[in-house]
Amino acid sequence: MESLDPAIRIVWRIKLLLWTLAGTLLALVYELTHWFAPDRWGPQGFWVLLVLLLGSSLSWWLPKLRYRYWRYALSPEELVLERGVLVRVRTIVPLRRVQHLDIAQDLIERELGLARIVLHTAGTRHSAVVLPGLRQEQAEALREKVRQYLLEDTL
Amino acid sequence: MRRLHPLTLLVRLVMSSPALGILLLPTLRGQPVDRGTLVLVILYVLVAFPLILAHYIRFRYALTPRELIIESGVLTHRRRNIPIDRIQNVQIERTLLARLLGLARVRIETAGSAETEGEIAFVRLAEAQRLKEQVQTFRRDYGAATQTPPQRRTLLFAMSLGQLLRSGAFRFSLVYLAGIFSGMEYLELTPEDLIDWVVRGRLHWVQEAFAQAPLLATTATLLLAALLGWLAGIVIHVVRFYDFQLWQEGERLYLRSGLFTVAEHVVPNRRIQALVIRTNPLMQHFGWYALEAQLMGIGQETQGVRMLVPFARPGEIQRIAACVWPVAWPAAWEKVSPRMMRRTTIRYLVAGTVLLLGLGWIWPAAHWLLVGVPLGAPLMAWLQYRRHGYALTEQYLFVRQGVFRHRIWCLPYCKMQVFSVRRSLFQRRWKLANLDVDMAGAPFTGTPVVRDLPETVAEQLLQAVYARFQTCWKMQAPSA
Repeated sequence: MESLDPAIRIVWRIKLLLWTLAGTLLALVYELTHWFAPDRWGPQGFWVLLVLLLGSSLSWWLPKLRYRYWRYALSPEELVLERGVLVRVRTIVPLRRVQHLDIAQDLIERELGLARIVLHTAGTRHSAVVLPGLRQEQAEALREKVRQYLLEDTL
Repeated sequence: MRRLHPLTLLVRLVMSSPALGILLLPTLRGQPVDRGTLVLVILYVLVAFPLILAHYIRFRYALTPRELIIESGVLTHRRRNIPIDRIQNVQIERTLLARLLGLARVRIETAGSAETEGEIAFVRLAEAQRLKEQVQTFRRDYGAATQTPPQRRTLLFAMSLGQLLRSGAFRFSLVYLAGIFSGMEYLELTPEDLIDWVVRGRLHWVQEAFAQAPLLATTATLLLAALLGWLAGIVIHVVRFYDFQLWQEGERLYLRSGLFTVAEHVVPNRRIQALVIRTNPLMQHFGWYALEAQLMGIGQETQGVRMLVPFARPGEIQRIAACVWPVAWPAAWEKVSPRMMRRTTIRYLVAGTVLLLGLGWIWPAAHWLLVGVPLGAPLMAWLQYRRHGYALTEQYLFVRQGVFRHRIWCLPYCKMQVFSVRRSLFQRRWKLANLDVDMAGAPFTGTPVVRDLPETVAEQLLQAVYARFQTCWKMQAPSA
């Protein structure tokens, strides 16, 4: 089984840091509006520090762990994905079941030359299976391989 | 091009009136009209009425031997050409109001994408039937070579009124009751006011007795709520399944039911993804079951779970299921790991405690119920374990689960979509795993998952199921 491109850790880290930033801003709003309030929870500056600490440590550790447990393998008939830090999931997506597939990139991924493949099936809960952290050319090669199997009849 | 029936204007006007009712609610409650409400109402009238009129004026349709053309759209004009050979079915639906006015809604189901599905609402009933028959004749002409001759319809299942009432009696639901109560809340109608109004000063001694004994009052309220919930369940069941009929014609099933709105549905066999037999403890005790089909569709309208048989004996259910697929229902079930009981107990303990502590926040007496949690949790876990199981046969994977809503799924390997094995943090410590097979058209809650299998068994089961999925495709390949 193959690992993802190591650069995906940076993408995840940046995204988590952005969330941390958003959380910190919220905490900051609370702090500033309740700075002198007699019924404020905790000492001054406590919440901002807490969010900042938790968020940054999570941003450091989570991408590492995620990266360690992410594996994928493409065999002639199916794509197998293994992932999950707390909940380990092993998914088999039969390529014949793929209705269409997208290659998606957000701003951060594009900066790093990464892409993710989204496989859409007719299923309900796993109707969009995402495989992140591929190099762009790798993703395109994978798409070409999968495309041979795209089914004509969906039923 | 033809237009809709002019009475459509009236129907649409009536259909839009609930929105107006909500706007006017404060006024209806006796509050003086303030300027804000007035402006809203005027805005509503200025927007909604012209919209209805514009919709009517812009809507046209025509049926030619090759295609059905529907033009619609107020702001963006849209013209839909639905090729006759793509039309799978023409449904005629009649709501109560439409029936009173002699109108009908025509729904066109297609085998293409969602964009080609169409609706013509409303036309005269005769026109609706003409459309339906014309489409059928054109379709026959169109594909005369490929189409098999029209097949005979056979009635598979019908429900008498007595059976319908009996069936409704088993559908106890507090959901409707909650709906009624929240509606009353919204209208600021308290149950006390309602009772005062109904009783009108008589039976005063009952109310006084209740006022003095809170426990008696609570019990009586709960009993009354249960009774109302039960009655509401029966009424809703009857409205939905009145005159229920299930027909088979070749490779399709036809369903028809409804008291006020007669709904007719067509289910092509190949759209069925799974069969589900469901029951609850009470129904099972008396030997009653229901059969549902999980359908794959394109739009939200056609996708989802459709009731095939609302209420029947197991023998009859199996006979009808056999008309869809040659299913041999398993006699013996494989059990999952007994460690499931431990895991489920802990889950119920935690959930029950949290729930009751939350409830205790609002209603302190609920703290006493906490005593029941250590007893209830293991009992529920044991029941869950006993009612959970799976079975593998040549063509189907069977899964059963649920205590209060017991369900048995029949999942054909050929229709499976995505396979996954998941192990949570706690499951990993006890070497357990869930097997989850994703099917098309499943509802978002209550999907078949084989829970808490020993890790090795889960892996074997996954391999076995996947291998059968692959053989199924290999067998289909030469024909396709």
